[in-house]
Amino acid sequence: MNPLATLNESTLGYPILSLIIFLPVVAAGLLAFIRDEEQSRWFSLIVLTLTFIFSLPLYGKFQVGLPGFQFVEQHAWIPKFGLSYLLGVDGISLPLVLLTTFLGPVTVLCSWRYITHRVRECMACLLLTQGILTGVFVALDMVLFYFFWEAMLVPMFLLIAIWGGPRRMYAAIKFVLYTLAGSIFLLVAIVGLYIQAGSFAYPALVGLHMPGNWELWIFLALLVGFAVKIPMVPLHTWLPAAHVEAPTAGSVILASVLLKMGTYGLLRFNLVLAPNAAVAVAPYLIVFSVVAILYGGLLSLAQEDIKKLIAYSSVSHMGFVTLGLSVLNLQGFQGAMLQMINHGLTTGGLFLLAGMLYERTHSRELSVNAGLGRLMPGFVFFLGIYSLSSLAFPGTASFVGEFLCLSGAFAHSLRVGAWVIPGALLAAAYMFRMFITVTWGSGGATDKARDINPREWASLLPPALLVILFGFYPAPLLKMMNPVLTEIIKRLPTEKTIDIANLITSSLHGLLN
Amino acid sequence: MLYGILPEIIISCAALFFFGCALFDYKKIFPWAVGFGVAATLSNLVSLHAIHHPMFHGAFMVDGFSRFFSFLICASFLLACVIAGQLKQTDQEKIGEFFFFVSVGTLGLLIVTGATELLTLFIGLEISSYPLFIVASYRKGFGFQFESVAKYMIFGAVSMAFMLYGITYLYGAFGSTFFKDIIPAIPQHLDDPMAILGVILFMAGLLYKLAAFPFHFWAPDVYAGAAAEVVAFIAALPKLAAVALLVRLSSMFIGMDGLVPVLTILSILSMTLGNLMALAQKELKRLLAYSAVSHAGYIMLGLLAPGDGGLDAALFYGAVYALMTLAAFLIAIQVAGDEHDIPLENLRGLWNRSPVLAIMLAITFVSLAGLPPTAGFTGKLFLLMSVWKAGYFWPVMAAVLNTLLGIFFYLRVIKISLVGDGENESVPLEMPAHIRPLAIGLGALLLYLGLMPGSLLELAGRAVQCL
Repeated sequence: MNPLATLNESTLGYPILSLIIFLPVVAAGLLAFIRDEEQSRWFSLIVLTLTFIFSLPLYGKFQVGLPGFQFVEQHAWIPKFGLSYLLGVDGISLPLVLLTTFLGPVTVLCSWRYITHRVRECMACLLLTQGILTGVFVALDMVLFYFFWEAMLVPMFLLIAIWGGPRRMYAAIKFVLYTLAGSIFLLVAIVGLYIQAGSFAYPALVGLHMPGNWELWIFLALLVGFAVKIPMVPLHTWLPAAHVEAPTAGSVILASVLLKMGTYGLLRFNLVLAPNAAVAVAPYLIVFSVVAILYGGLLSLAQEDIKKLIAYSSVSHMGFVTLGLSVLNLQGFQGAMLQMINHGLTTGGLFLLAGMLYERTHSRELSVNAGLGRLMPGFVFFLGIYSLSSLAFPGTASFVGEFLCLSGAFAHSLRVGAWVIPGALLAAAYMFRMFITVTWGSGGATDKARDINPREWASLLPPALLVILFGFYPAPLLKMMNPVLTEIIKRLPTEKTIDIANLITSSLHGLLN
Repeated sequence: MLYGILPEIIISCAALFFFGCALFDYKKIFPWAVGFGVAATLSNLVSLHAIHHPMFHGAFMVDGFSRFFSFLICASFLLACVIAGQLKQTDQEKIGEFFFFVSVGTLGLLIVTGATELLTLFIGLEISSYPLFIVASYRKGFGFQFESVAKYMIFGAVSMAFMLYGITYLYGAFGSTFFKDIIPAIPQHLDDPMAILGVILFMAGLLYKLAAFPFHFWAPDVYAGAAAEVVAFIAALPKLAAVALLVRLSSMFIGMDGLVPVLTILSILSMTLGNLMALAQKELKRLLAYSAVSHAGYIMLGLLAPGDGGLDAALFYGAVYALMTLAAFLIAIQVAGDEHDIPLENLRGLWNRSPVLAIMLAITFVSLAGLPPTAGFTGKLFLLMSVWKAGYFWPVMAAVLNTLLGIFFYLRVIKISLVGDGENESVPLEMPAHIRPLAIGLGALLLYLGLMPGSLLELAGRAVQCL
């Protein structure tokens, strides 16, 4: 049995994964019976806090050191076509699950006053998002994964389309169309894997030998699906539109968790199921990642809209994640995983801050918000922490992640490392530009703004604490993921077995003849 | 052993009753139509036990397969009656005739699903076609719908003529009109031009019923011209019977090697053409017509994989398609105004006017587009899996790219329904009391079959085994 595919039953005695998926989903249904807006806010906050608390035993009882899946739940779903309800977490999905449940209450807190109409529906969307996102990270049956993956679109679409900014419909449709276009190929890959393995269960697919060029085509089809979500340049254009129009909670979910679905998929499926293709395609992925880092950074530098600035910085940061994954060594993988978590915390925090500015000045323009920091010391405190973390300042979480990514890149080749360094510098430039303007700039539109209130403190403080904690002590995360990552590395072939250039010419010949 | 054909008997009684209503000008028909629909649907549960029971000298078979489809057809009849309700768009003077013709048409379709002999089959098809030609003309306020009826009837008559011609060739080649003689003899007739020509001509009639390329030209005009209530019948019921026939005779189509490419190409053209045309539509019924053309293509794909569950998948998809169509027409009927067409703009602001209907519309169109977690996705997944398993990769790719194409216009409809229009957005949509629970039920069913397709798939599998 392949160590990556071992299934360990839950030791808790109750189906914890189903619990944290369906508790918010059921609660979303119950919201139909709560008429009062204030009550619906409290209800959602309590449910999501409970969900987070219920997800903590996952961390407590997780057996560090096992590369396989734990807390596994398995039930027959449609036996005729080999579908099962198969859930489980391992070292790479557990941090993401915890990140999701951790940020749940935060999304409710930041919508408390921001959302003023159809509050109940908004809370229902937030609850649904929680459950479905958790499902994406724990589903081990490919079709179940695809269900969660696509179901995600519904609440997200509604969040942008109903509570978004002036161009919300455009942004929501663009978001959905991009994702759907990508996920159709994901579906083809899933069916293709089924044709090869006769099963949809992930553990049965690990270590599968595919004939001829199947592996490459499957890899590419999966890649298209995930690349849209990450998003990799040139498929990133939906992201700024969606971020700018989405309400704060939508932006936080998008940046913190949704984008990680893509990189998670890349690591979980592409690199494990198609290792030979991964080795062959990785050089091209490195190029796309470097382009994303530099291009995203440059775009970010030119933005006047704070949300757009953060959105493009996400493109750049996710470039670091894909870079870490495509250099195919342990530092790179560790860096990518840490960067996923850190980017989730940091960018989520930045979007919270941008939302708070918007609530005060009704503008996201840098020039309008210039100098607000003088009036809001508490706000600047958090802006400082999150900005520093975003530019990977030592002592914040992103430093560790980005450093590992960079060292992975240098270990891969000096040239790649040299190309990426300017990206790290760009991050400092655009983040400081925003920080300085908002804090000390002059010419702002208002000289009255109240500082952040206790509710806003409650939403900003927990991620900030984690940012600093992981900045000094990332060991628990690394310990959790290392066994899986080393196992994945071990399974990667050392030599290229697929020559892509040759393959493309030969398949073109095949098509023409 | 008459209880085997209980559904047929009940529908015949319904037809006679409605005929009487028309004669004596009795107008309170709606509860009766629902009652007959319920009785016919439930009677299938009784006759489900009469498995493999040939009747009328072997011309008609009561087996799991025909009962599966007669259940679906009766249930669709019931649903269509409930959806049609008070026949807003139809001339009230003709309400008796309307239900009479519709139930006769349904009877014809029931005969088609059970027929195991070519002439019985043909008669069933004729019985089902002519009443529907007539009701296609019923329209309040716009006179006789000449274009709609003429296209429906001329295309129908021509394709039926092709089919009859094909039947004569088949009889010439095989010396029998009974399926049980024809199907086993196919391997000996692979090179027989008469048999091949016969099968091809025979297919014409089926493709017409299914509204598949190249016999789809009637669909958009008939859908657009006829009253929405009528189209609900035309769109859902005959499709089911056509799927039944295609699957029952699939060994005839697939057995002949030369026909596999023909079938593949027709199905790919059907879906591509349907989707491309649908992209440009601004009228709801026309859009649904082209969507029907493309779905016919998907269903035909299933025939390519008889050994890999393709037939089960086709049955499943057929049933889901009927459900989706009825759900779509439920909405169409509710938003229809006084004008001749139902422009997509009528849906604008539906989210504000009736959230229940808007949610149901979203579920239905997501299902038509083939996205999870709806029945449309599950059906498509099963189809693609089995077709790919049987080794046809390019048809699968074509279907996938077509899904992509479909997403654009299906989502556009959802988008329009979500955007407010400012003017009458606060005016709640008036609809009969029974529509709301029905809408909730249909939406829930589409979701249920998407998440838990096991039971229907099991039934479909058992039905296919009866062949």
